[in-house]
Amino acid sequence: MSLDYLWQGFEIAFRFENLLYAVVGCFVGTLVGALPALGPVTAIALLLPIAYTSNVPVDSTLILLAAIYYGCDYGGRITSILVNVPGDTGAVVTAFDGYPMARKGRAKDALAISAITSFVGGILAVIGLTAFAPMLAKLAIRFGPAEYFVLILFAFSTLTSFAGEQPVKAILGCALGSLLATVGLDPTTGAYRFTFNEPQLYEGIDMVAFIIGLFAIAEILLVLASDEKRMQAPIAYEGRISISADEAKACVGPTLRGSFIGFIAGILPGAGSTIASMLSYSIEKQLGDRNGTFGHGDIRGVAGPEAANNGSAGGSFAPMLTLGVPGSATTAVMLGALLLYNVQPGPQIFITQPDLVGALIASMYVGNVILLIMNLPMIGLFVRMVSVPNWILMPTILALGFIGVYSVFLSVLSMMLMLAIGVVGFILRATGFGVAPIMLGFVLGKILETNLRNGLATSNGDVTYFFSSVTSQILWVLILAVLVLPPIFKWRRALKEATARTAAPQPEA
Amino acid sequence: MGSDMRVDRILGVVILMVAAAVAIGSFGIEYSFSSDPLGPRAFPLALAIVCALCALWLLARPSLQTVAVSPSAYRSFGLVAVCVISAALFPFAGFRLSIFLLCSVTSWLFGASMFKACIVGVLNAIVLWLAFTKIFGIALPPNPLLGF
Amino acid sequence: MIKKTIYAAFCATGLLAGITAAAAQTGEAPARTECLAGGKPGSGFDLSCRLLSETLLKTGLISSRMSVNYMEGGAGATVFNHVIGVRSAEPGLVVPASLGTALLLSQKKFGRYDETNVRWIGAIASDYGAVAVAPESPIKNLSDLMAALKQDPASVVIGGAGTIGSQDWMKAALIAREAGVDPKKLRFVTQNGGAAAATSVAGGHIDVYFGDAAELGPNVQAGLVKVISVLADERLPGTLADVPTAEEEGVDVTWPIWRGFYAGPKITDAEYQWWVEALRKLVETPEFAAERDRRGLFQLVAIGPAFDELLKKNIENFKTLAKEAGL
Repeated sequence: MSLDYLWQGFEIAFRFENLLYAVVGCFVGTLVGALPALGPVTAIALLLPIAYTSNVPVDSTLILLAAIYYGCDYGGRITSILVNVPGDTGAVVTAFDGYPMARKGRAKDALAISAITSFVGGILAVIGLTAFAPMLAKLAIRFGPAEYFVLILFAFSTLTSFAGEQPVKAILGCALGSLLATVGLDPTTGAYRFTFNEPQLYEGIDMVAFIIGLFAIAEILLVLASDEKRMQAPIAYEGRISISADEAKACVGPTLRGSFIGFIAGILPGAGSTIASMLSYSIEKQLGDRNGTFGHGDIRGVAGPEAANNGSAGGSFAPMLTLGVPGSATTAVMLGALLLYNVQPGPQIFITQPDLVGALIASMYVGNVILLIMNLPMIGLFVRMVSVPNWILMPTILALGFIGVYSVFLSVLSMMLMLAIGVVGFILRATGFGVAPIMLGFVLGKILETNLRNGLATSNGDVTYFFSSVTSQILWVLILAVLVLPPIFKWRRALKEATARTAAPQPEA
Repeated sequence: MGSDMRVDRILGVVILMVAAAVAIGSFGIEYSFSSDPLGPRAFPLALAIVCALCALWLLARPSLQTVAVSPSAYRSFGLVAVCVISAALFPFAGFRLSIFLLCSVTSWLFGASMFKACIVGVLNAIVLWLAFTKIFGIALPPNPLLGF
Repeated sequence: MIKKTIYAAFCATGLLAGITAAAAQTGEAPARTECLAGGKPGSGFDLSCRLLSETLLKTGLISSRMSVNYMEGGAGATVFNHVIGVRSAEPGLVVPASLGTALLLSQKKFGRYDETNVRWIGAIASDYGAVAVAPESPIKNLSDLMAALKQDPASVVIGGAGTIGSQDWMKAALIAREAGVDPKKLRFVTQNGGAAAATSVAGGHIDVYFGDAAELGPNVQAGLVKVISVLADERLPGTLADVPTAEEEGVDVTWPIWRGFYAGPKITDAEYQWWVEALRKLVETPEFAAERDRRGLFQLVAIGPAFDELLKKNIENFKTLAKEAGL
């Protein structure tokens, strides 16, 4: 495929005013992404009409919107790491290890590594988009209920690695999370489940309310309930960025795998950034968590998911541009923007609309570079912003949480729901439950159910349907590997150690 | 400092009750017909069973998990109370007044003096109000009595 | 008195705070206008609000921009209850509604209030139901589909972005009824939104997708799917101009997804009338037609009493269909 359109695109993207739009977009995106109240969909949907009516040229508008979209993915991780309040759903997983890193005084390291891996994930996805967009978009078509079901099952099977010392609590947390996700309209039959005739609950427990409750409210309660010293001590944010060479090396694998997983998940309309980052986290934990460091500030647990998060943003453009199928809510709004400017998506879009698509894709390269340049020096600033005593920081986090939930629903009930989740989350976390399994259940449980039931409806109850395609068979093999291989490795290691121990004294004897 | 208590048993009992409630509730889910053989009741029911089994496990083999109850844990109750009150007041007292209440009490609970706590409350109320209504254009409730 | 102040205060967001309490005079435009969408930014309700806000200002029917706000929940249920319960007498406030609103009202999914509790102003645009298959599907037209359904309802896997009883299911049920098939026997598979449905039908995971014309347009353009029938009175302009209507194949099923607006129950007749007149003037302007087309919507006008009638007919039909289908 000729890349002429891309060079043309760079010409457009490097124009002064377009660079300016990209910088503005990146900045707005980072800010909006960091605040739990606002997400990329809201920001883009609100800015689009303004750009449209004030006659901003088409290419500049698209560059601005793409920059915001990318910026949000960079922004979400900041609050995840610093105050344990994920700025958007894609950044939830980053909090699993990012916040513990911050608590250990490594906030700057976590911010630095996540900015770099975000950049790698973002750039690799755009390269993937440039090279394989039309081809990979076909992958989206291959995924039906069977494939999605097995994919989600794969994510759940890695739950065994979350087990730690209390496997029963990992399973229980996951089940409780899944149960909370069943509240609301049953997507298949339209039955209302556990809604107690309250219209607010018809669409289920909102992700924003759930995240703010489980992370922010529970966290503040935990800090408050701990002893006096911990309560008053601010997180030790000080110190320089100090990522050792070994750590950097350890991050290479997770970052590359994360980018790939993210890119693929972005292409699938039934997946997206949250699933991408969760898959990446589970896989890295499965592959690398030898000493139980994941969840306690392991740098690899930040690197992989952040790469996946940004990879999915790039991936979701492929089906939108070539099939007219948006892979995420944000790309749906962007598709609306394209149509507003009479850009028709299709496999031929690279030929029929070379300048616009070229400018859009070129701006993604430029945007990622701008974001990296913007984010690395800003680490110190971000850290200083939260390096204040808890009596200043905690009230502000709480207020932001309230705004986040209220601005979506304009209702008191949603705030109460958030508080209730916060209290339950506090109790669970105080009694040894991890956040990760609960979140995993809440996000993936319902998708698992829907695809299982859709598959059974499609096949008339024939279970072999879930094994019938090559894609699903590959995923089944992976599940088997995840469940069977670790115990074997463990056994072999134990065997080796045993022989080493018995072998060691012999030379002396 | 503080007394330790074995919590897994209490947790087990509570979750067992939750599971029972969910199981009963899932039988009560009303629907007319379904294209798939499972229907909307099966999944919550299965989850309830999983929860119940886990709860029984917790009862039978509780871990050594303890919760350190610090003497200052009452502050958490204070925080929950002020959160509930400010949330309830949101549409009536308006955004700024509720946020002032929320932030100043929270700040005080975290050890600030009365004076400092009030400053934190006022600053949050004003800065966040301006940021969200003027810059982001989000509708937050004003105070009805003051009219702004 | 205090209650009234609360109403006023509720709408007094943004720069024009406080002024709203002064009610609009007869025949004059409200001092401040607001469109309160019952969904997220970027949702269908938001689209309606944007269309109205954009064109009212462009055509000079209002002098300052209409603000657009959001209140998500229950596919419009929350905002419906809110307008009746809290902001019932605000002359400047309108709320977007669509055919889906009528469907939910017919199923009593909006709580204790029904369609008589708000004032219906008018519908100004529409989308239409459309039937999509994979490009190489053996189902070439609506008659093929109905024949297949008649032979064995379980042989066709039908997809829709919604539950049983939702709009997409209703479209399928209407076609099934025309073919003499019990809608309960349909094999209906829920899709996670229109985008997922289009990819599913292209990938052969479902045989037919009962979707909407506007959303399917880009997919048809991209060669992802083929639309075999549109559920409109006449052929639609644009991408789908070659697609026959259901009626052309002798099937009397239309599915106009109108986009309309309602206001609070306690606005005065004069205030209501201002909106009706404004919409009447609006739909005649070329500016409006251009903006409507840009958003992929089609022409449909039912304002004032005509809208009331349309709505009542919709709700009645839905109730009958639901009863027949055993919902």
